Amino acid sequence: MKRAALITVTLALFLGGCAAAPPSSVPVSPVAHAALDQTMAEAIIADTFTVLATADAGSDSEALAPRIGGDAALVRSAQYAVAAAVSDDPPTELPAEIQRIYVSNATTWPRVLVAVSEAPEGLTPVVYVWVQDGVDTPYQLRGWAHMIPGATIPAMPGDSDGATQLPLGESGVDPSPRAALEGYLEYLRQGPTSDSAALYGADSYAPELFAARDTLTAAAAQANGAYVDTVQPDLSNTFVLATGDGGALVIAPIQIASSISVSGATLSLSAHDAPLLSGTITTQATYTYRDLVVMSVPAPGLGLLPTVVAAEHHLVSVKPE
Amino acid sequence: MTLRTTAIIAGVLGLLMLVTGLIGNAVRADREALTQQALDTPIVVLSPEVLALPGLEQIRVTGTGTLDQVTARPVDADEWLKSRTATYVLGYDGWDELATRHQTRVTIPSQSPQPSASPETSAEATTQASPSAEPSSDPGLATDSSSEGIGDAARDVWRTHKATQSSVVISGDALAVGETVLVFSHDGQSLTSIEFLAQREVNDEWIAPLIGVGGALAVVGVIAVLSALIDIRPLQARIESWQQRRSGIAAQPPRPGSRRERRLAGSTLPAVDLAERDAEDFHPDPAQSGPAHPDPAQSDSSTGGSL
Repeated sequence: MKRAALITVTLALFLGGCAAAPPSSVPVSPVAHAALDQTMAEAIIADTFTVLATADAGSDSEALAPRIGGDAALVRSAQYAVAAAVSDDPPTELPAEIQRIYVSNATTWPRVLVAVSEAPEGLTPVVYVWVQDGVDTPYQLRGWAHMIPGATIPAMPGDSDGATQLPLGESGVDPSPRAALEGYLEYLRQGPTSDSAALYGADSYAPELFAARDTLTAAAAQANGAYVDTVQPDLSNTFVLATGDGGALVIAPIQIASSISVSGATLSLSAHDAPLLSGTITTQATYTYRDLVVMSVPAPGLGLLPTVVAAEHHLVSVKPE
Repeated sequence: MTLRTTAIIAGVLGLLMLVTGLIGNAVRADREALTQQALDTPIVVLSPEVLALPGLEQIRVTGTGTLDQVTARPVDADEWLKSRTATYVLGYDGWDELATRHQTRVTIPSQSPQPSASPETSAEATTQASPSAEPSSDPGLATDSSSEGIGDAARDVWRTHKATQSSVVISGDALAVGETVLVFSHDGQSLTSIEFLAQREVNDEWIAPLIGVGGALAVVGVIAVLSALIDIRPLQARIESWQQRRSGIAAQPPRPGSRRERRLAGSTLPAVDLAERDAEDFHPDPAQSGPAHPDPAQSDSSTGGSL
C-alpha cells in the first residue's frame, strides 16, 4: 500500500508538472533592408530644414551644425557672408517640399540619403545629399545642386529595399563610376574640344563653366595675365547608388580652383565676391568653388551616355594667391 | 471472485486515480509563465529571434529614471553596441530563468588636448564651478549637456523610439518583424530587471477525466465495502416477513362482498356446461351462432340459476 501511494504521488507530481518546454528561438529573416524607412528619412529632412530656417533667419553659420555640414555648410556660410554685404544676393532658396527620397541599404558607413525637391518657381528641382559617417553621427546635409533642365534621374529602388551603395570601381556598369567621373573631370579641364566631350550626354553645367572660363581667360589676357581652372574630385566624399535598371547614380563633390593673374594692373573684386576675400589682392586671386555633380551612368546595353543630371557651381572663398 | 470483490478492487483503483488527479490538479503549472531576471547593465538587447519566441506575450524592463526603447536593423544595433556594455537576452533557460550573455566594453576616455592641468587652472576651474545664483549664460548648452542620453547620438538609426519612466513594456505584436529592440537607461545607469510573460502549453487534459472516472469507481468501491461491513440481515428479515404477511392473507377467509370473495366464488368466470352447449347450440358459422364471446348479460342469466 505504501508503494502504491508512493507511485501515485510521484506520478501525480510528474504529470502535474508537465508543462511544455520553453520555446527555442528560431532564425528570423530581417524584413527591413533600407537603412532608413520613409518616416525616418522624412524626419531627417524635416529636421534639416528646421535647422536651415533657424540658421537662415540669423545668417548664423554656427547654427547649421550638426545637421548641415561639409561642403553644404561652407557654401551656406559663404552665402550668408555675401547676403550680409549685398542686399540683392540672398542665400539660395532651398525648397523643403520633397518629391522623391532615395535611401541606401548599406550595412556599413558612410551611408547616403538623396532627396529631390519640388521645383521652385522658375527653377529646376534641387537634389540634396545627406551623408552619415557613423552609427553615432547624424545624417548631415553635405551638398545640393539644381537639376539640369530636361534631365531625368533614373528610377531608383523603393524605400523598403533601398539602393545599393556601389564602390567607385564597380564593374557592373561601363564605364565604372570612377572612370565616368574622372573622364568628365578631364572634359571639364580640357574644354569643349576635349575628346571626352563625345563620351557624355549634353548638360548645361559644363558649357557655363567653359563660357566663364573663356570670358576670364580673355580678361586676363588683356592684362597680360592668365586664367587657370584646376578641377579635382573629392573621391572620399563621392558616393554611388545603384539605380533600378542596373545603372549607377554618381554623387560627386568637385573642387575647382580658378586662378587669375594680371600683369601691370590691379585686380578688383565685384561686390558679390568681395565678402569672401581673405587678405588683400593685387595681381592674383584664386576663387575656390565647391561644386556638386550628380551623374547618371546608364546600365550596360542601353546605348546611352553617362550624363550629368544635376550640378551647381558654388563659390566659397577668394584668396590672394 | 464475487461481484463485491470486483467492486472493491475497482474502488481501490478508482481511489488511486482520484488521488492522482487531485494531486496533479494541485501541482499543475500555470498557463501564464512569468520569468524574471535581474540586470546589471545599462542596455538590454532583444534580438528578432527572441522577440519571435512562440507564446511570448509581453516583455517588461524596469530601471530607474527615463528608459529609452528603440528599434533598429540588427546590423545597425550590432554596430552601435560594439562600444557599449550590454546584456543580450538569448531566450529561455527553463521557465524560471532567461539565457543571457553579457558584453562588457571598456571605453577609454579621450585624452584632453591640454597636456596637464596646472594648479592655477585647477583653482580657476573650481572657482567657476562654484554655485552661483546667476543663471547660466548659455541655457541651451546647459540643457543639452544634462539631457544628452546614451542613445541620442544614434537617433538617425533608430527606427522607432519611445521614452518612459522606470519601466518599458513591450508587446510582441506591436513590433516589426526582423528588428532588434534595445532598452537602455537614458543616463547610462544600470537597468534593474527584465520579465518575460508567456503563454505556455500545460499537459493537464488528463486530470479532469482521471478525477471523474476515479471518483465514480471509488464510489462503487465504497458501496461494496459498506455492503460487506454493514449487517443487513434485520432488513432482510423485515422484507421476508412482509412478504410472508402478504402471502398469509390467503389463509384467512375473505370478507363478505369483497372482490376476493367473488373471485374465489368464480363470479368473474362464466360457468359453462360445455357438453350441454355443444349438443344444443353448436354452430360452426360465427354469423349464425352469434358472438364468439359470451354476453355477460346472457351469462349472468344462464348462470344465475345455477347459483
